[in-house]
Amino acid sequence: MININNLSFYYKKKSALFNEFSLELENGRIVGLLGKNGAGKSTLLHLIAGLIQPKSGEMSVNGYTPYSRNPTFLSEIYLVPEEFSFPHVSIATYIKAFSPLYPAFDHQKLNTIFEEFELSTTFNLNKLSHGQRKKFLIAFALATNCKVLIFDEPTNGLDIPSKSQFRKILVSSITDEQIVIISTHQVKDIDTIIDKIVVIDEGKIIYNENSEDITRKLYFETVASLPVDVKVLYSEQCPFGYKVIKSTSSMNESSLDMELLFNGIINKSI
Amino acid sequence: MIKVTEYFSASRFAKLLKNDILLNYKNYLLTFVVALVVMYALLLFNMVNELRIFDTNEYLTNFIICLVGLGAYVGSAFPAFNSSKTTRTYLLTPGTTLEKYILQIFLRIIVGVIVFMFSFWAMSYLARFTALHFESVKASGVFIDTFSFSKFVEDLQYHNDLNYQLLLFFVAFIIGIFLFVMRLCFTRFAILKSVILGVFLLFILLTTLVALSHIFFPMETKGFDVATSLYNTNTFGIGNFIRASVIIMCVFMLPFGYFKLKEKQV
Repeated sequence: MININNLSFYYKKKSALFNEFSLELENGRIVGLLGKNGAGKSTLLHLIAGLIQPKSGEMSVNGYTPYSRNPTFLSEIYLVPEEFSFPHVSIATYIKAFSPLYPAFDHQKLNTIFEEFELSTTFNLNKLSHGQRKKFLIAFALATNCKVLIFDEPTNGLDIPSKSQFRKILVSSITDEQIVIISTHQVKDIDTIIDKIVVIDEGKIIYNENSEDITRKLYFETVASLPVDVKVLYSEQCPFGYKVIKSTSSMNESSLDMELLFNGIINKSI
Repeated sequence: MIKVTEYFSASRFAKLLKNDILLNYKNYLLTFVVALVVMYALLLFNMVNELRIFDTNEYLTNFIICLVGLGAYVGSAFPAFNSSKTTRTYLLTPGTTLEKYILQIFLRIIVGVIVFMFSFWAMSYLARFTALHFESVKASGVFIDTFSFSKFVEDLQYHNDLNYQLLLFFVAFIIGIFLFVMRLCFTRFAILKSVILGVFLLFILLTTLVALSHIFFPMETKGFDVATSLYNTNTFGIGNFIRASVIIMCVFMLPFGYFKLKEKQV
């Protein structure tokens, strides 16, 4: 459970990134944190992880104040950053060095994910490609069984089969005790696994909905021409006509098109 | 009620130690080998080029030169802080600030000093053994004394100044703690910046003493000079100044370093 109340944060005093920012996230969810460049997504993830200190306000992650960096809190949170570097050691050595620090670490789970990602413990971390290293970090993060898993642009650098494997592995390996936060610009890579969308812009939450509520309220479809009899909330031209978002008028539900939804939110149409 | 394990747990400390050694053993090994080679080469070079007697005084000079290397090792503590990516991993590694701080003190200062002393002792014997096989040394009849730390102490006592006996170790300690703690204040080129800051602080101290000398002994002080001999050293001499510095380092600098680590952000 993540509780943020009236949080303020700034890098420069004159331009506050977050001002009276509040957010509540429950366990058992995969949250998509979306926003434009510079909206504050990575900063928010760093605040949740306790890497930076809020200027004011209250923050609680599973009952812990993140910036206090309590060792139990640190053993229950794992951040997969967008950019990372590894020591010059093999995967086996890295696992041997870090896994004892996470009490819930599951070696069996790690081996299963390694098989899926075609990784071996004999590989030297710094001789792997960026994508392979990212896959290793994702596998390690999931194997820690941390209650809070944070992924910053997890699919950047992954090839197409790996993106699909990532979705499959993530959905199958997390439990109701865990909360997963994914910040990404590659919304198409994760739109089938997200069950809550939080959009931030200029340090404010401009959208915060569960996926099932979105598909209950909104209808996403591709049409040859813009309908005149139905109110279209947002539309975008595409090769086959228009991608549109309408209000759901019947019991029919559509698949969530997160990219279209995000553009609609940013353009203040939703 | 505050739980002690929220600050320090022996089992977690052991895991952090294992983590550090597994990740950095190659660097430690390389540093150790380089240190051995440099010590050996320096001692051998000076022994072979000695004209008369290579005794405790010469060993002491070489020891002080080698201490610079130990200072560099101590000043490069917290290697994770060289980049923001590794800093993030380090700060998120499950362990308390105290455990992480003590771990670096243990690896950089305690282990560093012990390994340094042992290495210098071993290299002194090895360099002497090698030097005695050099034809030039045999021909010149240079006397190369055997090395021992007890002779260090005896030689220092010979100066008949109780302050001088521990002066070297106190000064080395002060510089070591200064470099160790200042590492937490600078991200890039920490050692260089720490040395510049140290020299600057020393210059400020000297300037203050010069100013005081000019104020209290205007007739006796000429130019940028400290009228040391005129100060009442019986009350607060240079030895007491060094001792006070050691106490300040322990009481102020070490906790200061702890809080700098605790407040570290990415």
